[in-house]
Amino acid sequence: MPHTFRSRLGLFLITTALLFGGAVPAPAAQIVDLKGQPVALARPAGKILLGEGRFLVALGLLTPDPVSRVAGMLGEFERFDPDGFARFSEAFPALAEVPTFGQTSAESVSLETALALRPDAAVFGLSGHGPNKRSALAIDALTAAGVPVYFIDFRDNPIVNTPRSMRVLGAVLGLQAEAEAFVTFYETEVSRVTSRMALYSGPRPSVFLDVRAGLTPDCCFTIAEGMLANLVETAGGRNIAKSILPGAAGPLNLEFVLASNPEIYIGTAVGSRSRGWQPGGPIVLGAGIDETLARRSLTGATARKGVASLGAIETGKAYGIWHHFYNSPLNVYALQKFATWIHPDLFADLDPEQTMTQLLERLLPVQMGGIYGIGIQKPSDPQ
Amino acid sequence: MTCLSSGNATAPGQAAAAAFGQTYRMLLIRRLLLLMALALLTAGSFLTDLLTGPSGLDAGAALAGLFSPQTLSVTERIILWDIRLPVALMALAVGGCLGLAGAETQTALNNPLASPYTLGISWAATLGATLTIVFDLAIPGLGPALTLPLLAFVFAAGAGLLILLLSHSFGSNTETIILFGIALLFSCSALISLLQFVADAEDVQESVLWSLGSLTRASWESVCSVFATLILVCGFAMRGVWRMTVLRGGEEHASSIGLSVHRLRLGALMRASLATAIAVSVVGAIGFVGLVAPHITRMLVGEDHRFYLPGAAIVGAALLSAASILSKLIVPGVVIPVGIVTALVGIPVFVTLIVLQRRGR
Repeated sequence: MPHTFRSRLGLFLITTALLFGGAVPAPAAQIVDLKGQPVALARPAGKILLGEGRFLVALGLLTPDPVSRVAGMLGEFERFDPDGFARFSEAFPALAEVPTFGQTSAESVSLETALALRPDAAVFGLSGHGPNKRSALAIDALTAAGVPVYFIDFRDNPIVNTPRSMRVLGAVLGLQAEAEAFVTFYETEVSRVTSRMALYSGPRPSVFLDVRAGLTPDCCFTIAEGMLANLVETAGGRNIAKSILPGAAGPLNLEFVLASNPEIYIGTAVGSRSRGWQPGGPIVLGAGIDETLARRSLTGATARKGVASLGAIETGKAYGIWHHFYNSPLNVYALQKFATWIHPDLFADLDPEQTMTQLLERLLPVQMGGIYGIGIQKPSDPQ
Repeated sequence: MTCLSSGNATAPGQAAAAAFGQTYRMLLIRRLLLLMALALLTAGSFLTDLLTGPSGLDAGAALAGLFSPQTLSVTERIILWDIRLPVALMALAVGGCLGLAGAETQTALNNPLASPYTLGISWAATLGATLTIVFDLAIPGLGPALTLPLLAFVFAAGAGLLILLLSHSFGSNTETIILFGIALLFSCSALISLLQFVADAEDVQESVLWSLGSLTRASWESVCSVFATLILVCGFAMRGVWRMTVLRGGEEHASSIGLSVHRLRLGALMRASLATAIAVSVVGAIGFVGLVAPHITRMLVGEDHRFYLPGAAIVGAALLSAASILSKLIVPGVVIPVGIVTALVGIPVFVTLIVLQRRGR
């Protein structure tokens, strides 16, 4: 059946494009999105729909006025990262007027609202807290209404997909040069870690990622594939959850974590200043957070039952990282930070803070300064 | 049932009475032995639970560490004393509470399908927990860690009280109580769905994980509070075993000998509500034990409540303890929510017993 053959060939080509898209550079004029479809717009989109509010940060890296290019977005930015959202609102009061067409999940999306906003294009994540590659109804309806839907990804395969995603955003918004500049910067900073790790054949210290540490008294929700787990592996760590968890993310048995005795503990910070911190609560990092609160909250979260007795906490190799790096083009800071935590000698000359300063400069006029990664011991403390 | 009729029968002749007394004594001894065997089985399950885990801590070292903790390394001590022991004890305490609550509910409502779930108590606890998760509630001074079980308990106890109040005002007709319970169950379930709909994915995940039930939330404080409740409720329940046995014989029969069925029923439901509320508020909604433990017990030791009530508590404890072992073994390194495993452990036992009983007839 020629028809079946054609559709299979098409599927094969799309799959191949998905698999090798990162390796084979598309011609300058032809940018392919993360679902393998070429970004073909007659002219750059004026206003776009953002499948997640947090993609605003990616836009902010490309243009000094990202909010003016947003037709509508999801409400999860304010909900998950109120401190960051507040900084964006201060810089762009118009953000308050940007309509939301959903809250924090694909199910919460109001397709009617999305269509009524008459965007020029829509940018969704492959997966995550908004409409995604499986949201066929939304994709079909928007496409039928003349709104092309393009896909980006900062979470499934962050290191490979971040540059591709930034190029897609650049192509959609007509900010190709800015996107190219960011990608050059990003890839340079990534290679500071990857080039050295490529030559490294020594031991890979074991790492336990305590996701949303301290949010509940339970322990050991973690990530095994993609997101921050991907950064841990790239930075030369061995994730204790890998090949243990049946899925990409899930809870580990506390006893297993204790018995694995990970050399490095990394808790992800979901606390925020605006919600307030109290002992026993989550780690607080991000925009506007100072070192004292950051370290105190990390100390609090690592004092939980069981976690407190991990060797990594005794040896001072317990760290906190801003949770939202898992879905952000700023992830290169987390990668460098992980590298200095996991291989302090190998990366003694690497300065992640310098990288972060450069990233945050690109976000101006939004003042996103703050502590995004913290160790349990002050650098001056004896190890 | 055998025991019921025998207890009230008047023997026609001396010899017959002696023979009957003999049979009755044999029956009592048989049941007592069965109860002790069940208790032994539970103890065995508890020990196995204590000796299994993903770490290399072997059974011998663990056993030795139980009596002299100083023989263990710090990590091993934490694994045994802070992780395995509270979880293993919690399995017994919660299983006991749910088994007992189930038995009392089934007698009080004269319905073999009744369980603490029927009264909507578990759902109310889940509603309280979901509210805490979705709105990040924290009672000042307690923090979110204690707010969740507290609010779950308040909602569960509230549901129990509401059912009692409604039954008290509108008559304690069993059908009415069951319908009230079902109405409460669906109301709570709808509210939970509504909350999960507006909540973000991470909160939904947390709420769902909570409702699947997990023993790993056990701390020494919570283990003590559940055990204290179990002992208290068991104590009160055992004081009323004869009256409950009579009630099991039928409402008219109980009324005819001067018992207040209404008071009896409310008392039993109050005990069941308290036991369920405290158990589910700590470990999450584990529904199956409360339904099945009483059935298994009934098939084994009959319905004389002197044996039936403690039996249901022991069987409940054994079921949850076995589930706790399995939840650690299915995927090493990961704890499968015990609520899922409980059904998987309980159903084979349940079905086997039904088949054996039918064949025996």
